[in-house]
Amino acid sequence: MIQLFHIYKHYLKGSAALEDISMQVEKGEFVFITGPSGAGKTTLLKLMFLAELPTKGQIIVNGYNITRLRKTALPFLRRNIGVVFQDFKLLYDRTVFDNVALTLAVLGIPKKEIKKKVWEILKMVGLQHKLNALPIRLSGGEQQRVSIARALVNEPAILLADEPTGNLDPDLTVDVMKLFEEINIKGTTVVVATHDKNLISTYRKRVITLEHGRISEK
Amino acid sequence: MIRLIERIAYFISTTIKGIKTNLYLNAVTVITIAVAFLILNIFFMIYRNVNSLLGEWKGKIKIIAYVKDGVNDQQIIIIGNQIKSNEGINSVKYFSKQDALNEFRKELKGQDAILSGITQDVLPAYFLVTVKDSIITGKAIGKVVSFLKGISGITDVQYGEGIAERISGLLIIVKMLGFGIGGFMLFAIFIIVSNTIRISIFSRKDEIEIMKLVGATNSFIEIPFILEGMIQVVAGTGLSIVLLYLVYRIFMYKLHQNLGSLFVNINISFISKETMIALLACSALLGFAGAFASIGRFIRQSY
Ligand SMILES: Nc1ncnc2c1ncn2[C@@H]1O[C@H](COP(=O)(O)OP(=O)(O)O)[C@@H](O)[C@H]1O
Ligand SMILES: [Mg+2]
Repeated sequence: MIQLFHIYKHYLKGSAALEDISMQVEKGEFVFITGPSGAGKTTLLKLMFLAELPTKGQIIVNGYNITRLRKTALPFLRRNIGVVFQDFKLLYDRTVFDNVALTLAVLGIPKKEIKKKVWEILKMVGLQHKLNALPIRLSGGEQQRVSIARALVNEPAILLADEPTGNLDPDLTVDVMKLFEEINIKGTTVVVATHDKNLISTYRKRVITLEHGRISEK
Repeated sequence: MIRLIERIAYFISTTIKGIKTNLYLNAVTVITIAVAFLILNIFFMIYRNVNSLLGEWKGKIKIIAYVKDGVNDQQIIIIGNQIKSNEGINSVKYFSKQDALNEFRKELKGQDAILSGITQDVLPAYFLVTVKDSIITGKAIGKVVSFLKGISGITDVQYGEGIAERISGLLIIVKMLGFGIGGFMLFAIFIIVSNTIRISIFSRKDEIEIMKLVGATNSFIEIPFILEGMIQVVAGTGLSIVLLYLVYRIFMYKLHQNLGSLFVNINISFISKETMIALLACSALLGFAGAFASIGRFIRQSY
């Protein structure tokens, strides 16, 4: 589903964020990417949906070499990928509903259908009562769940989640991980970046460990 | 079909939302454009009215070529043919000394005292020449006149008072000024619109970024901005036409008030309907171009 071949990423300023990364995630797999802060986890996820371009190397997603993708084809790649951002990336002047609905609205899906789907996904993340709230009035954990709902509302083939439990208390962490496992069982490929060692040891999945921008072998 | 309608509704409501968030900026843009177009429209009006004035004059342009005394009938025919041979000439009519006197009498009807001493011999025979409309512009009349002067047997040439010539000269200046100012205005409006849209884009930067990340196509993001640009210029032009109409009414009112009966039948017309439609269509195009320029730089290039 996702294949990286000799990927290098250098940001304009600063040293190399990723160096010679080759890895593969199978269709339907659940994978953790871990490593200390600054290891390159976020960068690695960003490359997978072309939020950043690799400096060198090839990335194949869903059968497409996305490093060679025409810009006009990019939206259609992203429609298959749900992303939970480390910094949430919510619109703070929009309600929770509008934030989640955005994923569907850009596809031109009818309003009625959007309403139904948004309601369902908000119920799954336990925020149905905050439908009309502005994200600014929500706690960090609630904002995180809004961003999870937005990523999942379109039932993507791939879910990329960057520290999705970073702001959640243990109970909610369990809920969110359960949700991820559920959609994984339904066929969604899940990639979770986290520096939380407890999370990794609790949920026994394949783990890719990064250190200073390289895959570590231990 | 329902999808299409929903989509259009989405674009319109997003556009309106966008205008609302930058209401002040949008208002300033529309007013600036209105003022720019007002100036342009005043030129249109001047041009239109001077042009129609010229049209009235065109039919009245007459050149009189006086014939030397003692030229015989045979020579008159030769001279007449010579005049006709010039391409700029529309019609030629010969007035003998007797005809000239008759015309003179007609013109001075009721003022017989002046006519009493005048006999046929006093007035010279002449050719009354009218020129083609196309000749009236520029220096063409002068050429015709010197052509007539060059014919042997013609002593003197008189024509109008040069008014038509002067008007057409003025018209060319108005036209050139109009083009110059018009071109500058269009360029200025283009810059203004693309700047306003750029600001509009920047004020929704986060939203655009997220929309891209969840898979919105560029055109889906861009259409509301394009509509916004088009609305700005069309609204500005519409406003300028309204302003122009007010200026026009006030001007006409003052004109009649101050000059009274002297200019009762002076007729200054407003810009034509066709001009208005053309202006609005150009505005839509200009708004599109201005918005498109900003979109190209600020939406298309990012990932
Ligand atoms: N936009 C950026 N510009 C410059 N350097 C960056 C940028 N994003 C990340 N980095 C650098 O790249 C390295 C990896 O960062 P990141 O991928 O965020 O790691 P992690 O998510 O594992 O904490 C760090 O050294 C970080 O400072
Ligand atoms: Mg990170």
